[in-house]
Amino acid sequence: MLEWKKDGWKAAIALGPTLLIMAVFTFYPIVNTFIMAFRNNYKFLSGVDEGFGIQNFVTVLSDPRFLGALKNTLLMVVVSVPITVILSILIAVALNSIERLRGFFQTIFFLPYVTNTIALGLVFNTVFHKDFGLFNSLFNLGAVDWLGAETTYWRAFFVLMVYTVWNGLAFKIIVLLSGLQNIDKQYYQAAAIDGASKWRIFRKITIPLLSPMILYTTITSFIGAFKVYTSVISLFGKGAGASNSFGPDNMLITVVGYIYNKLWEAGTPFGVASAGSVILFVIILLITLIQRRVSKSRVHY
Amino acid sequence: MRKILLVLIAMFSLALVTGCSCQTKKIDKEFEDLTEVVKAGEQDGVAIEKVQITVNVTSGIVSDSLTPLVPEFEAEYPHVGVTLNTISGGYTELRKTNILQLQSNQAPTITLGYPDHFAEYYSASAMINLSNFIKGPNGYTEEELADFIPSYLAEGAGFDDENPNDYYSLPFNKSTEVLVYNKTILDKAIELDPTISVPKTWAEVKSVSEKLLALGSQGKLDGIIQVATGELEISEHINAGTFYTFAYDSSANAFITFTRQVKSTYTERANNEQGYLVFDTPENVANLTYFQNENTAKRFAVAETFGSNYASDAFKRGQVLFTVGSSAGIKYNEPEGNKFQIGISTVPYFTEDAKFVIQQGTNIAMLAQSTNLERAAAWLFIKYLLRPENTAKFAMASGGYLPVRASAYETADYQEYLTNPPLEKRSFSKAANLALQYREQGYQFFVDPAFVGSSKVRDEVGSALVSIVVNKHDVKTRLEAAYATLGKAYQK
Repeated sequence: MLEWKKDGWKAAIALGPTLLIMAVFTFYPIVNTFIMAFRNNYKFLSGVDEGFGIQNFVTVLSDPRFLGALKNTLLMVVVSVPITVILSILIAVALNSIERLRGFFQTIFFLPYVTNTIALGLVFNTVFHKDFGLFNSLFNLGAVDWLGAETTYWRAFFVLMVYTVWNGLAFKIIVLLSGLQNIDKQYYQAAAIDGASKWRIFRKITIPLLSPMILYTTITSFIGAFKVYTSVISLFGKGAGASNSFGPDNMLITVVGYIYNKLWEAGTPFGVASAGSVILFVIILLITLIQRRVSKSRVHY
Repeated sequence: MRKILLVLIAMFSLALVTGCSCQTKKIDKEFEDLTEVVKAGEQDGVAIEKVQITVNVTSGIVSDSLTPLVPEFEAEYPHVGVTLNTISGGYTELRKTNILQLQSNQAPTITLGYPDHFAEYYSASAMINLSNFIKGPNGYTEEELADFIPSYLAEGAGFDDENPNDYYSLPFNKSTEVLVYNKTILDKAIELDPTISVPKTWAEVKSVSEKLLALGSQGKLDGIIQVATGELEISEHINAGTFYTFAYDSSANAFITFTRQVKSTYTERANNEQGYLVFDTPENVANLTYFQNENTAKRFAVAETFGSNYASDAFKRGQVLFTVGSSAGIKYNEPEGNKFQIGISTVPYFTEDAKFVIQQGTNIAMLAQSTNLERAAAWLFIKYLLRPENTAKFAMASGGYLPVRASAYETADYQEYLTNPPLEKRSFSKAANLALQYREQGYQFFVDPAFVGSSKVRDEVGSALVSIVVNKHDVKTRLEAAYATLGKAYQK
């Protein structure tokens, strides 16, 4: 047990650098973002504003582009998170049940996590290329445009979801697999003696005992999905300085994409991007709180 | 021990927080022309320290072409030191860097930029009025000022509503749009059908395209250029629906140019801070519908049709025969090896009295976070760069950029460049000749009026044109959506 009088300096040395760096690069920007969000017509260059108010929030919430971004993001969250979590549970359980080649498959599933996002985007651009893509030729679809200017919303969304789910599996599988390996074998042995079926064991032992990990991956998936940005850029972006980086007419723009665009948009006060960030922060906070409340009765620690 | 530790932590955190603003820069509030002092290297008989100035430029061709001029300038003005601060990521990053540097009191003395960038800096009182220098002892005479290409020079004025003739920037690296065409195929087509020619008007683009599509679908344009493995012959492209006779590189430029060419309107500048949208007009709707239909008929496309930012790749594949792009980017239209020859011509227009062609490129300006000595040194550097022989030298080194002064075209070196260019600069030389032709043949260079946020409008109309041409969105509805996206701040 550490005591301040005796060990305070040890704690200060251990925590000091991290706290300082966090204060400068995390806490200060968060506080500043909140302040800027409430500064009306704040001009970054001159540093002048027109007092405090909610003008930036009104601008953001009445902007059809933001509402579109919010709709896109919610859709991505609702579709990708359940699919990713369920698939990763199934794959983790499957991996846990095999002895041979487990390491090999773990490596295979973990590869997307350590691969550069831009490289993955290039691979998907090739696979879903209109004229010589593997996907079109595999399913004999002809020259269907998935990622180009002639794509439709749902085609582009489909590719994005395939990419997101595939890319999101890796980390969750590793987390869930480590959770599975920590479940006491005695439970399974007892269930086997009682003659429980595999499905029953999965439902009554694996899922409840894995629930803290499932909750963790679900919450982080929700947060990650709300902050989606790079995957859309890597699939639809056309390089530095290009417009329409979120698909034709920016139709798959996300909330983070909207915030980033507004941040450097000439003629738009800095507070607009800040207001967008605060709205995203509140949404994520609310959903996380709801998840934690709901999970209290479902998660077994 | 604990106290020492806490003090150390506090000092460390203070250093972190204030780290970026430790250096306070001296700024002179009142203007004073000290160019004579900088030239002489002494003030009131006392030698001055060497004046150091920094210049923010984009990396690549601009900084590469500018770099050799720096030692030449420093040799002529030994009391001035110039540091080029090259920014990678193009003009978007240059603007961001300038904004962040201005915010942290680290701004360069000189920067390049577009007029809308300068509108932003001006609104934060961060620009120096160059007219103070122009009218000063080391400024320009009326004749010298008249030597600048008028439309280029005009971009630098109009920031100050009370003094609209004051210049806050001067033209530096300018370019324009040109029509590039596949000369090898067109020559063959002319042999087959002598009524075909390089189109000068949009009506000719339509008629020539009809003939080329007819010849192409009969296979008469196949085998003229060598197609690489995996590439298609023209007749195969036509059958696959992937061939277009004409493609525009920049959809935003196309939209803005069209509004001028049909004598309609685009934006209306109220002042430096405010501009209004005025492009939802019956003329523009009719014209955009025309190009939408031309796209359906495979006679018009934009770069996005080919899933790219530029139409040059499709052009090099033989999927497009005519393309409009920047004179600065002409090299990108040259195919590797001797696949085919390219020709360069003027951008099509609708009517003789509206032969509008957009002018591009950036200007040079001075930022206000400086001392009068630095400003004087910066002015001498700007003036040096814009000497006829130096603007010509920069234009030749960079290739695609054009001299900003009329007399630069008359210099011996530039005349040689226009008439007998080195092999690798042949296309650029053709484009430079074309720029001269534009002026001689009554074409009007124009630029969309800049105000804070005008680039946002430009991006949106570019997206709108892609939606209209590629995705066949209803023109009127899409223009209304553009108004809604840009918001009420842009509406009267």
